[in-house]
Amino acid sequence: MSSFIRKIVQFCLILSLLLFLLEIPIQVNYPSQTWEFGDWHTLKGINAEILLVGGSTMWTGFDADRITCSTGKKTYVLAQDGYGGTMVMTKLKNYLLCNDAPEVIIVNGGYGFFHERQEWYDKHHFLKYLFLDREGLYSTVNQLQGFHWWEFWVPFVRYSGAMRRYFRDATWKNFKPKRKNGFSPTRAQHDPLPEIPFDTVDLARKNFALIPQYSELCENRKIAIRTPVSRNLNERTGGVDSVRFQFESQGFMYIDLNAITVWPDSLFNDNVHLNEHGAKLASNILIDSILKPLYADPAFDARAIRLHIPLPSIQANALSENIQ
Amino acid sequence: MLFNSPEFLLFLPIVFGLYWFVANKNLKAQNALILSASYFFYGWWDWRFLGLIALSTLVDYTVGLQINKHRIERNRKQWLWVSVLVNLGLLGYFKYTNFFIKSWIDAWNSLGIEMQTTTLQIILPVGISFYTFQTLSYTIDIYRGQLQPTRSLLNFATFVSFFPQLVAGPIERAAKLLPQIESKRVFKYEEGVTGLRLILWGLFKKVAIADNCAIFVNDIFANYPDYSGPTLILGMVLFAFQIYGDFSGYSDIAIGTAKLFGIQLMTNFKTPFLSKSIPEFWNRWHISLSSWLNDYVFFPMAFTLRKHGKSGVALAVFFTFLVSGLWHGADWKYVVFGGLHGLIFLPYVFLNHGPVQIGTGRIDEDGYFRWHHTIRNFGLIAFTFSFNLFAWVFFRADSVSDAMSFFSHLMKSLDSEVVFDMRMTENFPIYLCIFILAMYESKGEGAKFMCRYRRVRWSIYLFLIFLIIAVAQDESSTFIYFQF
Repeated sequence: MSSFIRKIVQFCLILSLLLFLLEIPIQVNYPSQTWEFGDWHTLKGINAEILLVGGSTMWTGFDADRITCSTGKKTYVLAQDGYGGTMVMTKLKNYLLCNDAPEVIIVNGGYGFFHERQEWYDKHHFLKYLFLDREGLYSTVNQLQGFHWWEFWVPFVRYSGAMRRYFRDATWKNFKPKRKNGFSPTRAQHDPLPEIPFDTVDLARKNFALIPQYSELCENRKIAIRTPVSRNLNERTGGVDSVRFQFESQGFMYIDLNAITVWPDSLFNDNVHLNEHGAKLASNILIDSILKPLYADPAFDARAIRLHIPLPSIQANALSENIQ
Repeated sequence: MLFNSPEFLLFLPIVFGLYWFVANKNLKAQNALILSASYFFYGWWDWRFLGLIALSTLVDYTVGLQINKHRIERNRKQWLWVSVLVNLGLLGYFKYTNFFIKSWIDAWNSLGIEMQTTTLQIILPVGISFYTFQTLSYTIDIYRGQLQPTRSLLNFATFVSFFPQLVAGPIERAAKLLPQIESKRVFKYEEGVTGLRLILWGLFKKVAIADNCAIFVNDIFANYPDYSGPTLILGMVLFAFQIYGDFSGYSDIAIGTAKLFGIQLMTNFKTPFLSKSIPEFWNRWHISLSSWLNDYVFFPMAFTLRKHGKSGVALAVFFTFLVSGLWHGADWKYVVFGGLHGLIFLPYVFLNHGPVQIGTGRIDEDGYFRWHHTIRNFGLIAFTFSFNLFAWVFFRADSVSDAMSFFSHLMKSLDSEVVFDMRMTENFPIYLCIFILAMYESKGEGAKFMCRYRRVRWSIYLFLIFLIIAVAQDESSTFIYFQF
């Protein structure tokens, strides 16, 4: 028996060594990002002055480059594709740990914030960052389907069934994403998102408990934006007033972009994700109607705004057709 | 608890350690530990059904003693009927109630008498078909005078619920397993090593082959109208490897795990794809079931019908395969699957001069792959394999009509210009794993890794582990035979 146990221990040691060897390239390449969007990437040294926080509706909906150029403030979209407020808050916490607090934080206060997943969507984007939980993800993902505790403690095995991703994470150098400004909405134009079949959406019932936690994280000026949705979906969305109340009671300036103007279907890839033209329009509204007045007058109240800026001519016809 | 889950990876060493280092001085303590571990293992899936195992155990333990106590044949038979009715009653209720209700209603509907479909919400307890057959064999063997009942409830309960083979076999006979449970076990190094090799090999077959084949098979069978004929044939072949990898993988892990506890279980598979006929196939495939059916269904029936000569034997064979089909699941597709095997078995009954047996586990001297095999043998192997592919479509399809539709589409699309419409490169890891499986098992070397140099052997183990990790799916998938 002792010989049996001894050999098992020897074998397990060799196996562990092999797994650690396979883990080394992943840890060496830790800071690199291999996917343009969706990656859970490292965040050190971004130090944005305006920080947009949310899921896919934020990174497809606002052009950080445009905002930076127009306002002169360094803008960054801190997004996690496919996730709602809980996951994004973990990312925001990580961001705040290794960056200066932004002057303005703009949080997605629409469906994207309240939409929570049961399953671990796009898990492969997280794999690199799980071992030893250097990103503090454990408590955020341990309720999701697809979570396995050992993936945080045993080297390499989390790449089980994802060898292509392993080789990419282990060998690829930085993909050169727009680390300066976060994700670019232009991607959405080239890679149309699938139609998301929403029925009625009630925003009031979910995730209110997250709002105070976000409020605590945002020391300076904080804004919550309900991102544009198609007119059809907007008409079937309930509970916006409750959401507004919840955000405003926590010190957020709540702006419903759907109340400012009507968003024609031609500006969307699907019901909730703006295309490039839509993102341009949304960014312009954010810049001209909110950020510029805000920087000019800290007491500016965005609740009063209604769209009075001229729409880009390319959208004018489409918009008027839809309104009629 | 699944063999291919991390929970089992923790469970097994803990039980192993307690078994050999804490409870090793006392046989009762060892058996009590095995019993507790087995109930824990089963209860991990659904603790509510532990009561069923306990009930089955208590009934058959009592029946065994009562049959042995009574000398009058009538009384002995009455007690045997108690066991048969309780065991088959439980099996019938949990597994076949809805099937019979639905079949009954369908029969009336087909006669033009409309009846409403009402089925019960019954969960099928995992492994019920396996432990029911195992306990039934105990009482029948005692009734036949082939076995003495055990006086120890602990030993009997351990025999019924022994966790390595509790939920998907091999279906052990009391005459073989009980004496091992009743006698002191001594750890043997070679047995321990062989057990670990079998576990590793079983995991490879399940995780690397079966689970990966399942991805393509599920897609092909779910969307067969969209695929070309050759792709459908590929789906049939991959399903053959899926079901073999899944079930024989489970058996290997079960046998290997039992070896770690000093207990020998029967071999359940002997390279069935190298069978040269269907009778030989059933000597190599799920041997524990086919030999059980041989002893408790075929043989008594053939004996009863002996005055009808070969026709009686043929009837017994056909009936046995229908039972075999129905054992697999409560659906007509399984009955058709069994019936097809029964039909193809019949020529053997009439042409064979010796006694007919099913599931003997015996194979020819050249039963493994040899290059000097004759062309005739290759032809026979190919024919048998092809027949199995055909029959397994009924097994895999959603229903009999679905299987017929599958074949209909296959025939129509065989002449299509599209040869393979799936991305074949994506299948490459599967082909590699199947190649490794074929290279290893076709030699018939059992669980030996064909090298006396430890470094080479260990390298092979590490490579297999790496392969398992590399191609494993994210979630541990259940074994196909759990549903039976």
